[in-house]
Amino acid sequence: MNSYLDIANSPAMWLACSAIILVVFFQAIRLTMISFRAGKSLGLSKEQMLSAFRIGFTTTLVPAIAILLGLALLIPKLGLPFPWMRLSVIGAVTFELIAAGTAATELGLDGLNGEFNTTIFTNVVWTMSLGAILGLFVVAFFTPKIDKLKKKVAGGDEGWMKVLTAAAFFGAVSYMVAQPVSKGGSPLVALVGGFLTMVVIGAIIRIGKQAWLKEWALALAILGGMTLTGLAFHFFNIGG
Amino acid sequence: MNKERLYHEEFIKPVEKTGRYTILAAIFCMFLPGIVLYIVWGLVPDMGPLVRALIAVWSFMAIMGILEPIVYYPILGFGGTYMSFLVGNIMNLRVPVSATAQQVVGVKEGSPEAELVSTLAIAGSLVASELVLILGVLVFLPVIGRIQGSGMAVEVALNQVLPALFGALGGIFLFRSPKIGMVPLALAFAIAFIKNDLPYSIVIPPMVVISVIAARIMYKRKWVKGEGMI
Repeated sequence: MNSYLDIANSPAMWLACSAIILVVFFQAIRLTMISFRAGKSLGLSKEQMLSAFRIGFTTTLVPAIAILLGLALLIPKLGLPFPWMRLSVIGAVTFELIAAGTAATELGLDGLNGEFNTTIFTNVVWTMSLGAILGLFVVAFFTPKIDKLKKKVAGGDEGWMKVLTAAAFFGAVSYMVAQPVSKGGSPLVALVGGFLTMVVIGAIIRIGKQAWLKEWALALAILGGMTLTGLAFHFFNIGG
Repeated sequence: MNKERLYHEEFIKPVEKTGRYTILAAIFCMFLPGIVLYIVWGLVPDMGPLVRALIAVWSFMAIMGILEPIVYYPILGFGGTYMSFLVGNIMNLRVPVSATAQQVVGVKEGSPEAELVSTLAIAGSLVASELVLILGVLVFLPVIGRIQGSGMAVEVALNQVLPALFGALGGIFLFRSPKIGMVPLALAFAIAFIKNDLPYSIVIPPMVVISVIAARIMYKRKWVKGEGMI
């Protein structure tokens, strides 16, 4: 099929994308061993420590399946290995989609709408790789000094820090939210579908007290938007 | 050796060392796909568009990258911070996992014991996440051709993944914090109706600044609080 997808799904890409997964496993195992050793000295029982690990493992299994929906959304444009790696580390489908869309837009595409080629794929890979790197450097070097960092940043006011994070994110995506409305057609249908699905799921979470739905909300809302777009095109010939 | 010292020597020190080096190794690994694209196929990014895309992405990721570790640290703990920021899905997976484990095992909040329990729980959570994703790969591998070469209506729908995401994010604005979303969203609509194909590198940085200033004013006047924001 497309030559860039042959590259995206090639053995070399699989190899390049697997290395970081090994780092994650190594880190988790090392920190588990350190905790077990320290726990023994501090008087925690083996049962307590095993149960902590087990709780972490079992309570993650089902909600983590929601991540796979995000994976399915990235595969059509980016192949399998790279999205798999991206969602295995740092791992937020929102960031990955925005980064990919921004990279493609700068090369003249309409977001992720349109034919990719090797250049677009390469730029998307580099944008996603470089885009989320800063947080990792902060964690690598400042975790032991995080209290000092906290006082320096925003005067240690935790409430403001939360508001600031939300404001930065909202500011970043608001133009992207407004764009499809002014464009009309399929983008508008998708936007409305995504919005309505999210509102319905949000209401079910709040009013029906179904907290487990939270992990699924975003991916389901995206699917809702896309489904509505497909249906509108198929039955009413809207967009395309 | 007293307990405090023991905890520092046997836990904090080795965790700091492992945490730092594994994350630096991960940062290197993160560039392997890009490096392989160059070595095997001679593909290099188109620099101008890449820099412009990064200006747009970094204008909000810089703020979030610094603030998120600070905000989540009290819940995740020392070891948990290193692991959670490497693997992500912090608010929806790691935070509840850590809280549940501390509660079930019954340790005092903020104690060295709670720190160990949180670290172990998040380690278990990491392993589970990675296993599920590997399982996902095995599930998607045989159908990947079908996902990529699908028919018309599906094709039309797949092309609209971004607008669908932004609709969903609009819904999240509404539920989480309509007041903070109001100013940037109103401004964005005004801009989009005048010109809807502006480069993100030009629109996003000033939008982030304006949104932050508006939020600052609202926070000062106590119209918005930090609770339930992220």
